[in-house]
Amino acid sequence: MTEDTTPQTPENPAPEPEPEPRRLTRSGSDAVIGGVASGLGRYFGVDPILFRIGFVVLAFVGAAGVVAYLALLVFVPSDGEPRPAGTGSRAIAVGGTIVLGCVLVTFLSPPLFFFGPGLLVVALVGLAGYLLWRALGGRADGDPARTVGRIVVAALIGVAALGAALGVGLAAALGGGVVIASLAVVAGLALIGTAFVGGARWLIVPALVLVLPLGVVSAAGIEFDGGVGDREYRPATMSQVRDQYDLGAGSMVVDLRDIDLPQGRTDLNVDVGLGEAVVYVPSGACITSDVQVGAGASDILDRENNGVDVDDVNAGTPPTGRPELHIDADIGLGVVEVVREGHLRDQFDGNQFNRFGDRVEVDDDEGTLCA
Amino acid sequence: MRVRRLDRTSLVAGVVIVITGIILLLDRLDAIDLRFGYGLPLLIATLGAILLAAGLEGPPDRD
Repeated sequence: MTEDTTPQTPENPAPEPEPEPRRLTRSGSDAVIGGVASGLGRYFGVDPILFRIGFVVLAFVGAAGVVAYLALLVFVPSDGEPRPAGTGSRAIAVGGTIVLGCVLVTFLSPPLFFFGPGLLVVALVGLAGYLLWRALGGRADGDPARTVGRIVVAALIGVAALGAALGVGLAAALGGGVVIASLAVVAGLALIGTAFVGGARWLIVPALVLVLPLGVVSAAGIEFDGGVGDREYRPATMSQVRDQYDLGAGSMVVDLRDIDLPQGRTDLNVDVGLGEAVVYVPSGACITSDVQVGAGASDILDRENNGVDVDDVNAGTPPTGRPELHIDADIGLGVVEVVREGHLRDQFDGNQFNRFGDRVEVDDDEGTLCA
Repeated sequence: MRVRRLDRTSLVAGVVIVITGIILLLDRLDAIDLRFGYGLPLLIATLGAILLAAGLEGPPDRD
């Protein structure tokens, strides 16, 4: 008789425990404030810093981030894990003291700009830089001194990046956009190439310093090829009227009230990169316009538009016997205003004033564009 | 021999920066007219894609 050596299978094997349903809980061990972002990150399997950045960004959108955070803080239960002693709480205490100190110094209105709004800007840039560093893979530890040191370094790097971004924006507005865009493409290709050998994430920040300001300058259409400062042109005769008036940054006034426009159409091109353009048009002329403002406002004979990508096109046909002045204005960031006979509409109460500050009545027919 | 793995954050960042750079280059060459209406979303999407890739991948390997 042979012995059966096959393992015996129990007739009633113990049932495997069912996996617990995944629950959204706040993290007690990785909490900065209430562990909401850590809990969300753990639940969705992503870095909690993404949710932290999201809450901060949404805090500036009608305080939606604050409301959402408080709601989650109230309704989402904690996982019960204790917060490690001497880590987050000390870091928060030190960081909070620094931020409150910056706010206090700012509200004391010190004489130097750096110790006023500048200090707050540096603190915010440092905080943003630290969050970006965490988002790009930087590791935090529980040592508050090292955390504060990293924030200070991030602030210095952030200020340097901000200065570099302003320089890049200026260079782009001065006509270097092609070179900057080409450098950004090269940086992107270098990032792709190095990604297969471990990556070079440090290249991301300089690439963004190239791309972001160039994008803003390109979207606004800012060009500084006309110089910087205040310009006032008051031609006395038609022969002195130029086809084109350019200004890079500043305020420009083109006063055509003394001009007798010839019959037919007269073209006037006005380009301002950053600032204000005011065109005084002669009475009796029929005004047509093609105005583009990247971001700002246009006020064409009291027809007002504002916002981003402002387009104001009026292509009427002048009545017989009236000269036509066609204004083609391109403003990057700023305001363009077309005024007849020097009557400026007050921006607060809508009353009309002449150059000497006296309130005047304007014939509505004079303010109309071409029919 | 240690084989260094693909860094997806650098890859995603490189791709979106190349795409954005080409669009900006076309605008500077007057081939297209970039406006705020789609220029700002492009820039925000560029930044968002990089942060998302970094957040999903986590910190890089340290030797």
